[in-house]
Amino acid sequence: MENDPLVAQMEDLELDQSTLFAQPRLLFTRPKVYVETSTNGKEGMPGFISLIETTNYEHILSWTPEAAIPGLDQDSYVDISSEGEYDSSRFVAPPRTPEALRSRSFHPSDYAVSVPLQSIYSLLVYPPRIKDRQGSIIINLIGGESLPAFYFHDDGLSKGKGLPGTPPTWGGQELLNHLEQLVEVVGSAIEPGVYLVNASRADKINHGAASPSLPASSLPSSGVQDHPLREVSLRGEHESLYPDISSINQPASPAPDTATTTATGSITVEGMRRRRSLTENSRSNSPGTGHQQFASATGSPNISSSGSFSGRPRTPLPFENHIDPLVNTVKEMRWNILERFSQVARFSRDAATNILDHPITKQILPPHVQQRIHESEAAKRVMDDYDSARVYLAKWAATVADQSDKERREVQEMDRLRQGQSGTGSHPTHGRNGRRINDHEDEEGPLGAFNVLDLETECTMIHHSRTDPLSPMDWFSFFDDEGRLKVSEGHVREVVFRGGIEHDIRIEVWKFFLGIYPWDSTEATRVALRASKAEEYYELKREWFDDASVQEDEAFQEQKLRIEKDVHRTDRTISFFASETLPNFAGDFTGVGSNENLELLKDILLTYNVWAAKSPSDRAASTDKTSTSQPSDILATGETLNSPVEPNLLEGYVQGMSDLLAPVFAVMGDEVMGFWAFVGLMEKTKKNFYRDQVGMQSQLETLCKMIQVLDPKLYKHLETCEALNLFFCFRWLLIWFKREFEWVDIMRLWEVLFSDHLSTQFQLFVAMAVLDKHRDVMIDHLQGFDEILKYVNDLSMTIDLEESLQNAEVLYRRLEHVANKVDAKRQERTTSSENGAEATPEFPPALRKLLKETPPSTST
Amino acid sequence: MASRKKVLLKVIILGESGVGKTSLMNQYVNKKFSNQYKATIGADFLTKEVLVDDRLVTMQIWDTAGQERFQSLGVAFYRGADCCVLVYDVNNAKSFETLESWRDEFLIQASPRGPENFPFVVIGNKIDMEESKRMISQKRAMAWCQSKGNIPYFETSAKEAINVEQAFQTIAKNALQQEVEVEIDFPDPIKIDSDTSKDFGCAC
Repeated sequence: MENDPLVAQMEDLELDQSTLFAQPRLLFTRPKVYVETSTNGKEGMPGFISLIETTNYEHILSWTPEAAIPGLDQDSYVDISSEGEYDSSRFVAPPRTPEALRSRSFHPSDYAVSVPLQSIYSLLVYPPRIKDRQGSIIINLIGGESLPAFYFHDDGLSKGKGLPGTPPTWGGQELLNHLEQLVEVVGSAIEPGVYLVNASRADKINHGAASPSLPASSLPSSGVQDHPLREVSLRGEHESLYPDISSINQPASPAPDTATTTATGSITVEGMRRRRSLTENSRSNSPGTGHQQFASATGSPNISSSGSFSGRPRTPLPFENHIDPLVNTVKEMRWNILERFSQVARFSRDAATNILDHPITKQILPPHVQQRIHESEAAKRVMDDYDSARVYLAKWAATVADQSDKERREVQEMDRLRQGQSGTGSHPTHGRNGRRINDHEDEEGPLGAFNVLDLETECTMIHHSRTDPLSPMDWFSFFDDEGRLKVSEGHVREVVFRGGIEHDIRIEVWKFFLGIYPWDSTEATRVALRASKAEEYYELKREWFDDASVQEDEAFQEQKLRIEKDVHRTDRTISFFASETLPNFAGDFTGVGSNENLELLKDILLTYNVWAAKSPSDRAASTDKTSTSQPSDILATGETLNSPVEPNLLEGYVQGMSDLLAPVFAVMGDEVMGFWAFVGLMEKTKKNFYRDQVGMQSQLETLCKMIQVLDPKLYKHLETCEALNLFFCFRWLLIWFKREFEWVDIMRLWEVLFSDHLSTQFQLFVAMAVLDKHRDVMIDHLQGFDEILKYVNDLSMTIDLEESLQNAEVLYRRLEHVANKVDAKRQERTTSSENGAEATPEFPPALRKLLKETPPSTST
Repeated sequence: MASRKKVLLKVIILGESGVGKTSLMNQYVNKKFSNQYKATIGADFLTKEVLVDDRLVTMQIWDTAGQERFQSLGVAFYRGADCCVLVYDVNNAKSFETLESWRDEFLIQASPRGPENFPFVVIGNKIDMEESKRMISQKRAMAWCQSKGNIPYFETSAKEAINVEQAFQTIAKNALQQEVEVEIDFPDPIKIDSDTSKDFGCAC
């Protein structure tokens, strides 16, 4: 077993979570974990215990018998873990008692167990002792059941995280360490060996507040680590409780570099062994019979309600003594600290520093050692080991940050309510507590003079203006008896910008925004328009549909094939496009049936090709007649306004167009209006698809400038990562975040973008908002273009739309603010001295184009 | 194993849209197939640890958009590639005919050292379709591969997981060889092409 390549590979798996990216991930696995069974008896059945993250980011603890993995093939095992999208069939109800286990007929997979971490109530940990090398862990579920005891056989398993010479770690310890990263695990002060998982406040108090050694009042009251209960990281305190025993079990390992230090700050196997041995006399020795006792001890696992638990006599704890001169050798201590350090660093660098800043660590580690840990090669090496997992870590950090951000906002909101301010939904969105002030001080951005502006303090008063969506009632109230808009177009745009549109009236409102209906039309004109638009559409369609020579044309066929390929894989999860009621005539694609709406998507795209191929003057006849909308509707980018007749740079269907068409077609619900709505949308986005890619290029460049002005530190970081091309934003901008948000969010986002209320390129501010949200994580954790790209791609379907829109608006105001300040400064200097203006750089013209000419009335 | 330097092999998958690049990558890395992968926009990658000649390496497999319009992005993605996989659909003649231009374009944009020896692998995908639909014979494909300096050729089905593992084993092996050669030839590589990444992005 010792040199089992499988074991080696399984161990490697632990280190390389990144290999299972964006899939259900095997976060941790440990072989040779035994469960007692009817047939195997005391020997038990070997298996793998593992922690798995499903695609839904649910965490599962599972145990799989070796026998259930044919040929012990590692690949297939990884398979189980990586394909194990959490389906109920895999959730094998845990046997209630060992008896129940025995009554079953033997089939290895019957014993497989898998439970979500949220369903775990507590763990009973029995670390290994001298006689009993394999310690065990019993897991109690919230419902009152217990999983069978897991015996961790460590014989022959040399753990060491790739660092030679480090002591092996008990498997149960590893499991705890990993669990601790996923859920809150606190050790009971009353009952050694009991660890509560995500414990309720009441349970925590029951288990910790009563401890004489850790009176709740003597501890600081904020922060997880200051909780009356000791976190797992504090479990090492147990070591210091029994110095006499610790010296017995001490492995003789030399301590070359930190010889004078002693510490108890981290949990060690030895510490746990010692603790176990103290309480051992209350239990039988053999794991087999002991098991039953463990089980009976947890017979009423709903500990808090049983009452017997906290009432049980407990081993009195001697008064805490954090400094224990006799415990582990320094080397072991150092390794343990490092191990924790690296583990925590996986999800947050901040948390890692917390370990070293932790009061306990501080007490046990003299400053020079702490410094050394910071600097030591070993620490670096440990960190380097996790290089490949950085994107993964970054995600963790983002989740943590997001959580605290939300909590902070809630607190702010509460404070505001308490102070009697009305909660209209507007609040300062950029309250990252002066983060940027420091940034600006730290960083001398390329636009140096801009940094003089104290953006943060001056901009904290900027609020977003988001409200509820436009309701049908309000919408109809905008029109007079003839069905003509009574309010200004600008008002409608602003209303939609601020809240979007209720779904029922999208079908109507979008037609205004997408240039089908002129803003000043009456109901009568619109009825007429619908007829003429239909006529015009079918005329265009006939050009290819009824013309055999076109159909046979090679270029047409190639286009058709291209379109078919993409249409058949566009939004098939949306019910509107999901059914397979028609055969797939395309034949080329892999056997997925088609449906009427898909066929119409194809027709619309082919007809759009015909339309786009016509020169603007060819189209003029029809568009003049039908669309009297202002040029700004059509030429929403505002850049082609004065350009001569634009050459047709589209040259047919380009990937991404089907993504843009699907929502507008679904909202319009019919082919004709779907087509014209698509035409309107393409007027806003077609530059993205030009052969020369100039549209994308200029957007990315503009966004890059925006980052440079608004967040110089992020800009610098991207520069270091050679990521200034911002290709990781390419998909966002090409198809207006279509792949990043759920279907319903896309409709909301797009109507905000349609509104052109603040900027005709508001998508850039949305992009900036999403980057801004993740900038700390990117700066702290991501070190290369590929890492950033992966991280950003994986943000897909995790982005909060409302928050992004709020931030986007605030960022717009910020940029506006900077522009005004710069202008004012230049003005001031120009008047005071001749060449003074040169000292203040001009506000980038590309960015100025994004801003409205006159500050709108809603400006604060 | 741990004492050895960790090796990252960068592999780029190219080919016409719809030939199955995303599917091949996902079949290989995740052992999964879906006929509903959306058209790839931009680029993405997956990583996988593999044993090549007893050496544990990490493959970073880049999946790119198939429409030639987006080739200008390539330069950012192709840089530092150790192997390029050219994929076509055996039932689609055009996807085979464009292999040459994909190869040329790659060599121009990635500008690898020693382009004549740069490892390519050709994959003819979708062999699960009925024989009558087949447009490119194995013979023809192999002849082309031979003419381009004996490019290894595999016929696969990402859908039915035929030959995918084998193809990627070869890809990994050849990529590792390339990586090793680069290490030997250029122990201290200097980035001379750092400017090229900017020709599309921010000029500020």
